[in-house]
Amino acid sequence: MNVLIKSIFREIKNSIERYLAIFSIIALGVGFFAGLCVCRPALVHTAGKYLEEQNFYDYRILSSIGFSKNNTASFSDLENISSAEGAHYEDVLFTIGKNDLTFRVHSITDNINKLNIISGRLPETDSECVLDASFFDENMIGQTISFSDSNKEETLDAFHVSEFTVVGIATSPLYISGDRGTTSLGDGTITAFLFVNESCFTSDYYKEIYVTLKDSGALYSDAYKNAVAEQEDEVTKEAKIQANIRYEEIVAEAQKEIDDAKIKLDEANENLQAQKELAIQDAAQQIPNVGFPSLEENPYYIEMIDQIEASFEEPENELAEKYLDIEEAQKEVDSIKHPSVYILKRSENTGYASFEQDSTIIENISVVFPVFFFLVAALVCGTTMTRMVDEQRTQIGVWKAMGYNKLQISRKYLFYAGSAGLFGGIIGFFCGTVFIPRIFWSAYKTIYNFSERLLYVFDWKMCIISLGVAMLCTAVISALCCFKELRDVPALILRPKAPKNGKRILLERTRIWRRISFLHKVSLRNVVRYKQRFFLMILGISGCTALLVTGFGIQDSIQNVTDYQYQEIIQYDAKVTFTDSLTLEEQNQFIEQHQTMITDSIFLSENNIEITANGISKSTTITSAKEDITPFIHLQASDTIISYPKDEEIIICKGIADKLNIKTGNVVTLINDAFEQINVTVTGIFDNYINNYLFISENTMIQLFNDASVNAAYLNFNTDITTHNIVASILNEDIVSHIMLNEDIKESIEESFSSLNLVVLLIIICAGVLAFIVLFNLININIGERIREIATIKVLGFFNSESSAYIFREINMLTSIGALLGLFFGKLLHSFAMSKIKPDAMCFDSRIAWKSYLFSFILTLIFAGFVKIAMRYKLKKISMAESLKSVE
Amino acid sequence: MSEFITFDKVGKTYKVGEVDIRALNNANFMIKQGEICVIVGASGAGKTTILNILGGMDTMSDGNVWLDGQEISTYNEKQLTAYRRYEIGFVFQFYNLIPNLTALENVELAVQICKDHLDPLQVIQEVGLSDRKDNFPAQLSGGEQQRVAIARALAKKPKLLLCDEPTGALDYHTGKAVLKLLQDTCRKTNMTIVIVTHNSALCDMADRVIHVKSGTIESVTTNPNPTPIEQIEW
Repeated sequence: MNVLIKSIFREIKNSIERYLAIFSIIALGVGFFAGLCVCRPALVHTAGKYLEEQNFYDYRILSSIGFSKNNTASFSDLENISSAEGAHYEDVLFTIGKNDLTFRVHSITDNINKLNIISGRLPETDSECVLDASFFDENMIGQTISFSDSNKEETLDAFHVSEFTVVGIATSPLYISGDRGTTSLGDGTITAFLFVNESCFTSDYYKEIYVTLKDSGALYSDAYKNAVAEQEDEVTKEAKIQANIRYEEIVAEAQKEIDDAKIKLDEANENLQAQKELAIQDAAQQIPNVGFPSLEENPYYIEMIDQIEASFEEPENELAEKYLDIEEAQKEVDSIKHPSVYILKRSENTGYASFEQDSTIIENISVVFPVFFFLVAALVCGTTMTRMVDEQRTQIGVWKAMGYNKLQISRKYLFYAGSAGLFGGIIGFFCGTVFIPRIFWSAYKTIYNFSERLLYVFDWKMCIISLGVAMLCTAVISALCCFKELRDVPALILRPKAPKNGKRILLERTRIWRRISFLHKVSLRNVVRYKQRFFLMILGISGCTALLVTGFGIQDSIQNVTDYQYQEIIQYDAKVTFTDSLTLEEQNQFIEQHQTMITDSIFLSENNIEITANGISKSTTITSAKEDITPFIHLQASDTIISYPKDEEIIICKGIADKLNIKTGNVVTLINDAFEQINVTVTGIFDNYINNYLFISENTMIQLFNDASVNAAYLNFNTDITTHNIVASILNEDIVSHIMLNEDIKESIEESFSSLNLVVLLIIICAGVLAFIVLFNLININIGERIREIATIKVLGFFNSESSAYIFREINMLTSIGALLGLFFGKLLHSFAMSKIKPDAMCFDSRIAWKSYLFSFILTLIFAGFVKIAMRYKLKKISMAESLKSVE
Repeated sequence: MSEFITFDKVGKTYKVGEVDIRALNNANFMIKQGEICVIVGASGAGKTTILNILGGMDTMSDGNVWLDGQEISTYNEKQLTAYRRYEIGFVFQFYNLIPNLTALENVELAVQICKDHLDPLQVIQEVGLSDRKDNFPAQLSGGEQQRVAIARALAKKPKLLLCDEPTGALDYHTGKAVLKLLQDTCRKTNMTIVIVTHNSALCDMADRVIHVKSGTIESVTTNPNPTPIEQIEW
């Protein structure tokens, strides 16, 4: 083997710690970089595969009158359209336990939006159904669920059956997130979906048509968006045609009915007239015409005729009324509106859209962290290689004296650092790309249900970039270190490098200097002696602390959210939703009946609307209250109290305001479920972290919905009675559809947050590893360089603890400075990270508790402590004989 | 005069991998209080081993060592550290000054950890460096650095001053000046000084000379009339 290569391997073996330091910082940097960068591709790839397998729709077409069953085929004849299928859906209240829960019942489509059966099977008969796997487990299979009695007549009429046996649980591409949407039934939210056979529905027309494209392109890609946009006009045109066909059918059918009815009526009329004629003729024959000039003047005859007329008056009037009815019906038919058509794309599907948004969160974060890690990596490598080259100055001189050229000599160092960088890069790349997306997925999995495991994505470009940066941080940096040294002539290199002079520092000119003990003086001078190391140390340690502050801060911001929300903002214990609007009498009755249990209550009117501002819209619930709502929900912005809106005003919660970029004073548009809209002025934005709230005055509600009748209430419970009993008693009321306990919401939210702890743990581990590598490497260099000094002070009679203190004092100083700076950086990093994490229906209170600052600071010192313990052992091992050795 | 230092059948075996190396074997000698003792021998003879044992920097494998009535061969690591701290002054061949401290501060560094010590400034004056006291080691010549090192050792008021090739890195004249300083100190303060060297010319300045060869004591001779440094040539 080549001597040079041999020497390299020996070098690595002898200085394995140093080698590992470069290796691990590169692995960490690359792992973080590649891992975070691959998160979105991995998420999108997994979702893409799922949606492709389930054949997710590209267009969802709705019309105000639905589509006739025969005409879906015409969509598939369009260019670049692969298939089209019609579907039914209906929101139905089911009784589960004592609660009435709203389910959206869909018809199963054969090829589009295929269900992914998690357990059980697809329905075979009309009395079977498949349930939402996100909210029910396989224990439900075999159970029967039935329609609630509080369903409206038309809902019941929409189905042939009124109960289903659960035969399977499944996920649907229509619902990849946990959001099931809103409805006009119950409390306004849909609990879960339910799929049944198409033949369960009585309707003879489709509510919606799903259409898929032939060639569309990858999920969320521009190619896909273009492909969808390109075909949109065509599809819209066809949808209009189909809607018109349905329109004409309806009109024709109605017209036929009217015409038929008219014919019947005409017949009836003719009959009647004929009968009348006959009766009159009979009368003429019966009455003898004597003594009168004509029959018409005969009083008997006149009397007779009058009698007949009178007897026919009633049926004639009836007929006339019927004619009026028909006229009325004709008017109605004539006034049937031409249908409006809606072409919805995937981006209008809540799950699909929120997944796109959520997956970009990581992408945004993934820029900052790696840059920082790579900077540290470059510095670690730089200091290490500088030290190595310094140590081997004589050796380099010898190589040079023997006639090796610069490149040949530096090859050793390039290889040393480069191989550490390459191996670290490869290991880091694979570990990062495998584990980091998984960690994120385990947090996302609580929201998105479509896959247990995330698919692995290998990105060549990313791999090359990562390894390129790894090489830049190692080989290139060490080449720079080397060439600096190699510039000198061999004779100069062979001579020992003059030790870096002791320098007086600025502090010595001050009076404080005299009060400092000499041991501290050495440390203080050493701190500023090596600028590069000083910088590395500060960067590494402050980075560690900053990561910790961010990690703990994320926890704070999230944990505080539930506490703050349910202690400071929300004051009511439960929200009850009524099956129908309540009269004043019913309200009083309800309160009277639960007098002992309910300490306080307020009746509300709630409706679903879409709020639009600045081109962004969001569908949510809007509330109006008759009385003062503040005892139930504190409307505040920081410390300012927000007053309840007057007519044509609105106050909105911070979450929606942030999402829609709304400021106080803006005008926003509210759209009701019939697509009618009004404009209102925002008079306040109040603090709120969970769920979205919008409040308007009763008059505004009436203006929007023609109705502000009571359909919900906030309740406060008597704390002496167990909540369970109160809930049971309230649910026993027929008028109550649903009750929602804030305690339950709080619990379930806290549960879902617990997955974020994993992310926080990841951050803490990374911070620890970072601190460890930086400290270990620096202390290692420091000790290596000062072996002689350490041996000398040992000979001078410093106890082990004193000699470690002598070395570590400056490390402690730098650690403290770094950690203090880190607290500041941490605050910045935290607010950056928080600005990127914004889940739907939730907004975080970006704050860091002083305890977290303290913990981060202490934890940094503890990390440093671990390294120092390891290094103390190394210090202890330094032989005093080193002090006797000659200067190399 | 009583025996100040006693080496009784002292031996030292180093383990280097699988091999045992006997660096010192059955060494017997004693040194009296206030003597200058020169331990002389070729490199590898075992003189550094003696110095290490005497200085409490290393333990012996067998035998006993007494200093001023105390048996240091029984000391544990902590006791040895205290021993180095309070009883021993050390002068190295390469001075081993802390590069980041000035001359005066280097002396102060040593006295920081001593209970009973001399005034650093005064010691610096005694070694003739009062005008260089605020210079960093790198700004001092070799001889000056070695004088700082001696000052650092003396300031601790040690019972025993150990010097490892104190002139090894110095030129002739500077070396002589340093030796003169050592000899004068010994005479003035009645301090016991042990000098380890390979330069046998220094034997003439000693009260006692110990010759070491191949890990054994070859001879111990006393010199009733040591030659003043000025008259020694090498």
